[in-house]
Amino acid sequence: MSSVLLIAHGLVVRSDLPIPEWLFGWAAAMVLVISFVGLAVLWPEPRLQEEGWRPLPDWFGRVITSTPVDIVCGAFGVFLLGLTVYSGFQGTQSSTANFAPTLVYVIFWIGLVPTSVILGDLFRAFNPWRAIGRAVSWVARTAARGPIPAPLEYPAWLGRWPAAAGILAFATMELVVSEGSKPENLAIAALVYSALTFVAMALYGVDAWIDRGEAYSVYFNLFSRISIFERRGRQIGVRKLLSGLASMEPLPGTVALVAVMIGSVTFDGAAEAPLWTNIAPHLSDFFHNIGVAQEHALEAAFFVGLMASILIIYGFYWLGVVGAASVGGGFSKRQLGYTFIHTLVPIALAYVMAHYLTLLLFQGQSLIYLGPYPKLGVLASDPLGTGSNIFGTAEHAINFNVITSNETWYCQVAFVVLGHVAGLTLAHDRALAIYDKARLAVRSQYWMLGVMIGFTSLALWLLSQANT
Amino acid sequence: MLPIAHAGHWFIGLAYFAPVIGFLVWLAVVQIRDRRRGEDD
Repeated sequence: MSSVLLIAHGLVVRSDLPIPEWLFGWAAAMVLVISFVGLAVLWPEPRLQEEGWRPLPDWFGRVITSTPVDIVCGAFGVFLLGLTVYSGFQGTQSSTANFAPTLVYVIFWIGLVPTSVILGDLFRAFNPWRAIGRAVSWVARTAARGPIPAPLEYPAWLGRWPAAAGILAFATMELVVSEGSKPENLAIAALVYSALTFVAMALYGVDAWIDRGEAYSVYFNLFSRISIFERRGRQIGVRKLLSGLASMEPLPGTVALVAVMIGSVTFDGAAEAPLWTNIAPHLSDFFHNIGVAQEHALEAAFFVGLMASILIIYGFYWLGVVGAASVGGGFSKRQLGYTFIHTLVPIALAYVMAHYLTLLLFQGQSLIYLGPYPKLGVLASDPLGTGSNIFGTAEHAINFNVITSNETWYCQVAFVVLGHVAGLTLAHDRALAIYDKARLAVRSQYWMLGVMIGFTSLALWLLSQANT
Repeated sequence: MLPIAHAGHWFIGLAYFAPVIGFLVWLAVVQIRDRRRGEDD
């Protein structure tokens, strides 16, 4: 609803595709079925349950994890947070001419996803809240000339619930709040979130909160588990692709978090579909008739839509789990729900990349221009939108030739198919590890295959709605 | 014309989800067949 950034997610008209778009959905489903059969025949033992982590040369790890590098990266993160807040308050209130919305909604929210998948948990180093928390902790220890009081123990039941709530709040800001991309509102949201994070870090400690509660740390960490790179202590190492997900601790709130991740992208796509545009005015009228102010009635309707999308994703996953539990093996539905939830992370990746590809490639050029070679974009030179030209790049217009509409569609289909095949592979590998009979393992996966085909069809239908 | 246009939208929408429907039908058949075999055993 607030997505008034220059390029929405797929406002391009595809032409001369060799087959109808819906037939791509059938082909994708066929790929999944063939992959399922291939896994059943050619993948008889679990291979991803052990990461097989091997350290890279010692000097590399020592340099990358050194204190100066940590400080520089953290300081850069704090600088970007500060610039976001400053430009939000002091800059123009146009969402496209101000640095804050593009940094937050495009470079940070979308761009860091593929970055995490390729390079590992990069956000941890640049996390401004972690950097400030650690700096304050260091100052407190130095001033006290000794250890400071230990923080409270992070409650086990809290798990990843705070992260799920944080990502839901972000999605609400982006998709529900009518002026959610207004720079000033983003600045206020950043300050409120920072304050809450500092209170939580003071209560539970910096590392405990960053690992489990801080929404963006948890969000990007989930994606980084797909990567082959992982930091352990002062070493950087490589592991098997996807194996980081298999070793993910299934904490309380993880299912909700992943449902929010996929459900919010689903709603962003569905909001462009006639199905929703026909329903929304009626819902809005309903809220207005029961006393909600006119300007908030549509927001209430969109919030209902967002929550409905999340619940549909949540319900569909549990349908697969209930089906898997019905084949036997002695596992409760709850156990299976947590045991297989990591398989949905590549699907969340597929949804993000497919849905926001054009937004990242086009609007992202406001900060990183993609000409013959990458260079700084207009917002780097003019972050406040006041006509300044700090780096001499204020004249860089967006290069719309980086990708054609048909290439976009092929990339989106590829993301969707690869993401779901990855999810299927993870589910198959986990099933082999937990079921004592291979036949049970395969039969339980019929249901997960159904879930994957469902998510694939939904993803491609949502993408097609951008053209409706 | 309008209802036909809407029907077109619905039909194409259904086409996207045909593989899911087909898979669920197949799964139901397999489940029923397995149950019957279990009862016979």
